[in-house]
Amino acid sequence: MIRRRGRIVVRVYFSFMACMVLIGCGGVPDDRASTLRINLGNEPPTLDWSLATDSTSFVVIMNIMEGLAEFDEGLNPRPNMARKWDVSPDGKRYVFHLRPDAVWTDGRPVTADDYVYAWRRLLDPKTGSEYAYFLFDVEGAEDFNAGKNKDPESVGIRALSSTRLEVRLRKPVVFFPSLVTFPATFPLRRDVVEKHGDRWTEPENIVTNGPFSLGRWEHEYKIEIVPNPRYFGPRPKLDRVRMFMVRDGATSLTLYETGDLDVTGLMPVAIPAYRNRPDFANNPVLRGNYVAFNVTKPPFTDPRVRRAFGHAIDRTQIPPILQGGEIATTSWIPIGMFGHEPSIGLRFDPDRARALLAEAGFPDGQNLPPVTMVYATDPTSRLLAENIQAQWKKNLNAAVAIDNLEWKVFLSRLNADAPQIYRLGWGADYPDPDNFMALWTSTSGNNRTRWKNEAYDRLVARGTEEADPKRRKAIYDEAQRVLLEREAPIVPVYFSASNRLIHPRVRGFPANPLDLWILKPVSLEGR
Amino acid sequence: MGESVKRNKDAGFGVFREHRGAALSLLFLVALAVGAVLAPWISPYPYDATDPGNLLGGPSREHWMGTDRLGRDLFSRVLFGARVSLLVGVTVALSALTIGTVVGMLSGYLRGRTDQVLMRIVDVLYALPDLLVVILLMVLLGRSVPALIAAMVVIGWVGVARLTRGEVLRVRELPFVEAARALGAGHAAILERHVLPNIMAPLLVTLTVRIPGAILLESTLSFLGLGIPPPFSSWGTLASDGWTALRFYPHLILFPGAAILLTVLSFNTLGDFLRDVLDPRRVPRSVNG
Amino acid sequence: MRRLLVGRLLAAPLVLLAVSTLTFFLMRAVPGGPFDAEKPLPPAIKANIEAKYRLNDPFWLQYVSYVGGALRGDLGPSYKYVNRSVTDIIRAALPVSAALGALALLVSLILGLIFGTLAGAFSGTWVDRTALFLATLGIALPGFLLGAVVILVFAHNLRIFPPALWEGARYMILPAVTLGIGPAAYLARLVRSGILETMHQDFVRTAKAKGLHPVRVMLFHVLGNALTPVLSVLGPLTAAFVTGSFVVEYLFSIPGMGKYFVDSVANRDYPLIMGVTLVYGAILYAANVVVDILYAWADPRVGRE
Repeated sequence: MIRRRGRIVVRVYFSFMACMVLIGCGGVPDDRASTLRINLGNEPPTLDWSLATDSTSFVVIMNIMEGLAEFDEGLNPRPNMARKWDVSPDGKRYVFHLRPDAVWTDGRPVTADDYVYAWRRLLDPKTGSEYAYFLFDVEGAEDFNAGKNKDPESVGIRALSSTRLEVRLRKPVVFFPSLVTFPATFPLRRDVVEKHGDRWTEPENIVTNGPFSLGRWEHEYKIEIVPNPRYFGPRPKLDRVRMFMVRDGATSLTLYETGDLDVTGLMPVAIPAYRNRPDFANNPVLRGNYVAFNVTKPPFTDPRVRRAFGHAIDRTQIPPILQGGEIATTSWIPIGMFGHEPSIGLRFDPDRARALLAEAGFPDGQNLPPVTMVYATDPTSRLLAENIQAQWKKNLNAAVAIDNLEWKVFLSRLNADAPQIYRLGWGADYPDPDNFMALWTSTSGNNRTRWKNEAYDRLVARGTEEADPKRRKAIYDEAQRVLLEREAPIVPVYFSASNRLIHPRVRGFPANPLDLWILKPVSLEGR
Repeated sequence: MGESVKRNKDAGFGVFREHRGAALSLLFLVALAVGAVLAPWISPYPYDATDPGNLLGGPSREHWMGTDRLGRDLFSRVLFGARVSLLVGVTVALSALTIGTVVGMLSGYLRGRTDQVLMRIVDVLYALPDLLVVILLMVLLGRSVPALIAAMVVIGWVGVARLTRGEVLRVRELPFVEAARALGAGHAAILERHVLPNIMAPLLVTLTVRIPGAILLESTLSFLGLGIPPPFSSWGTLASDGWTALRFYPHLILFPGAAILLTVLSFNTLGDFLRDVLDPRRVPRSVNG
Repeated sequence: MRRLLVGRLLAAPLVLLAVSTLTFFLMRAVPGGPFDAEKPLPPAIKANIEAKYRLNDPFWLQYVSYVGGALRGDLGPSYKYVNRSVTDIIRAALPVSAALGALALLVSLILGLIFGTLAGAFSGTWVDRTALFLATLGIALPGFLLGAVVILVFAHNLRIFPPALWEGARYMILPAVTLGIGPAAYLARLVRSGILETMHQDFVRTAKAKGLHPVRVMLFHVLGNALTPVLSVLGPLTAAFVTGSFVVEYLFSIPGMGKYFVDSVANRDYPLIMGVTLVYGAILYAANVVVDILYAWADPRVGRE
């Protein structure tokens, strides 16, 4: 009896399994030969380039849109939608000469008015753009954005003709051409935006001017871009790019290994297993990671204490723990950026650290008030915090408590009342040292250390205006010495790196320190 | 199929002989509890001692379960993790059970308006997505063990209240309860002497389901980055730190995973055993069947 | 039964109102705002954004205008996904989760029935113990670990199924199994105890005494009655399945609803938090009403009570 029942159950069970396998073997059409499949990691919060602020959105936008200038391999701005530009002798007036052959995907030419509209929209307080401050050096822009001046005509942007765009600045800005490579400054079609409202970025509505156009957008899942036949330049070599939004690193890696993705990021624990394979690619990116002190809170009101804590961190311990090809650093302007100077900063020197701490009145860590370091909840920050905590204990005999807060709570805490020590990073918007150095000026909204130094502010302001590279480097060297060696409100720890696997059939996948994925030169083998 | 005839409450510990699984489970859980309590004295290393020279080492004589990404001894961390995981599991289950039982008993026994009000509250809490509520509460209260327990209790008692209410509704109509009422016994006395003992069996079984449930929920919260704050460890934080290393450093996930698996398995086996032994509806019937 | 139905339907708006009120005040009590970012905004720009979303209005006014909008079917804009309304987001994600959920429900019902029936029919034997043990294994690992193991074995090593993505039927199998195994274990237990209880009832003994084939007795007399307890858990199970599981959708990269229950809080995307809560509450409530009615239909005593 039991045997008969067992047989029935076994039959049912196996027919069920058979069904599953049958379904499992059914295939979907395979266009892998001509399609590059990559992982965006996330849904782009928006494809509206006036509103986009994050690297995911930029990956898509920078392939379907192009601006006045673009970066060459060395990250120097070169003419693109603008054939060339003229700069006035005082450095405060730019005239961009647009390509007459550049057209939108619907065939209309890209005109100077499209830029004027885009820039005014970016600055319009009603748009609520987070990157409006990119153009604050344009005459009248800051007042217009703050609502102090309601007249858009007062902003220093003007169409001299359909192909000539004039920009007037309130002071010379040597890196201004770098700014016009940035998506926030790309042109916009007024008629499209006004007709479709919030839905203008959907594939059926959007109008763009780049090498690719937006073919499909399945929210939270994938985006497909295809070559834009009206693009003024050479047609991209790929027939299609499929960008999935796989959030989990392990899943993305498995998809790469099963041949479902051509490129994947690599999570830290996987790196040692792949490091020696030919498809592994590691390159440094322009992102600095640091610990910072709130200089209004004892004991960090005393620069000697801050320097002691800086001297007490052996940065060489960090990369083996984080495993991501990170680069230990004592200086702030990152590798790959103009002004990088590795000799600046506080070396690891436990004796010097203890001496400084004793000098400040805390011999062997005695009498130190309770100290807490706060970081945002994520595995990397946690490993770092736990390691640094252990080093301070060992080298200074200083007991530092560590505490982590969920990301948004962490940020609002930093802005309201920064803790004694906190850990954070900064990624470059554009590859100019000003982007890193202006962070610590007394007027910077990002400077939560409460550190203010007039000499430093003056140096950084001079840096934006100095056109001669040699003198400019000297200015930033001096500024870095003030910031890192004398005052030490921050202690840089390491620069990040990107780690990925690129399938050998993919040729020319971009590797640059801004981690921009410009896909127009990429091709697939056998095509 | 007459197997259940032999099961009897009066059989005492003799039943364990027939239920080797349950006996083993109990043994495992007791050993685990003892290990967790004694962790500070018996663990070979402090749970937060790092060794930069031995990162991600595999199991060895010095480190039975290997070391983690900061070079900490995994065995010590699993042992200390048992403290947190068991504490969270037991506290959450007991608290949820107590609150849920009180509410459910009041609701089911008093009925009428009390029942209406309590059940509407239960309905509302029930209609909220658990995960969302726990996350909101955790962010609100800050990451700590008490906050974690509180958040899990808030969503945990509702189900118990529903279950208890149903059981009480059944029990209160039984002849001996009506007899007690007729004899003039007070509500409190009836609840304590007649109702509670009769719903104890399903509640005990619920407990054995709730404890591993809480341990698993804690690990899911760790996976979301909302678990126990470092440098403390729980099995949840160890598992969520280790699972991505499945293919590369399997020891990181094997040992915490096995700890969770065995514990949940033990509690469930014990629960099945209790259900078979204690269920008042089945045992008497099977005796004369 | 009609009274039961009418009563439950009338209570629905009240429950949803209470749910939304509770969520609204809970989420606003949480520190951090939707526009706190790593690169903090200049105050003027932040003020502009907050004005755009009316975050500067008094608290009660924001609440009233939200409820007003929700009544008209407008769940507001998402703060994080700038160009999409909450309604758009839910409309795109819910069908995906529902499809996956339906399949997972099927998996858990089939597995739960098979294992539960086996365990119940052969109670006390090795079959019972093995079935129970397997059923327990299904809930003995955290979901993310179970999913990781499933992907490693069936996608990475055996290459039977794709490891992730959502491109067609074969992509649904692994996530549905991962999602369904836990509840299957739970259902198996319910079925087993239902069967044990029914086996001793008079009509079953009568049927057996008549010399009917045991399989026949099991399938036609026992199982139907043993399934009543399963009905009672189908409500919450359906709601949980249909609104998606964060863990499974995350691991398998499926564009469903699950992620919003976690991400909306992390982003402080207030309208999205409210939206997903309301949808979940409504589905759960509806599922429970349906189950109650089925229950009353199956067991007339309940309706009268």
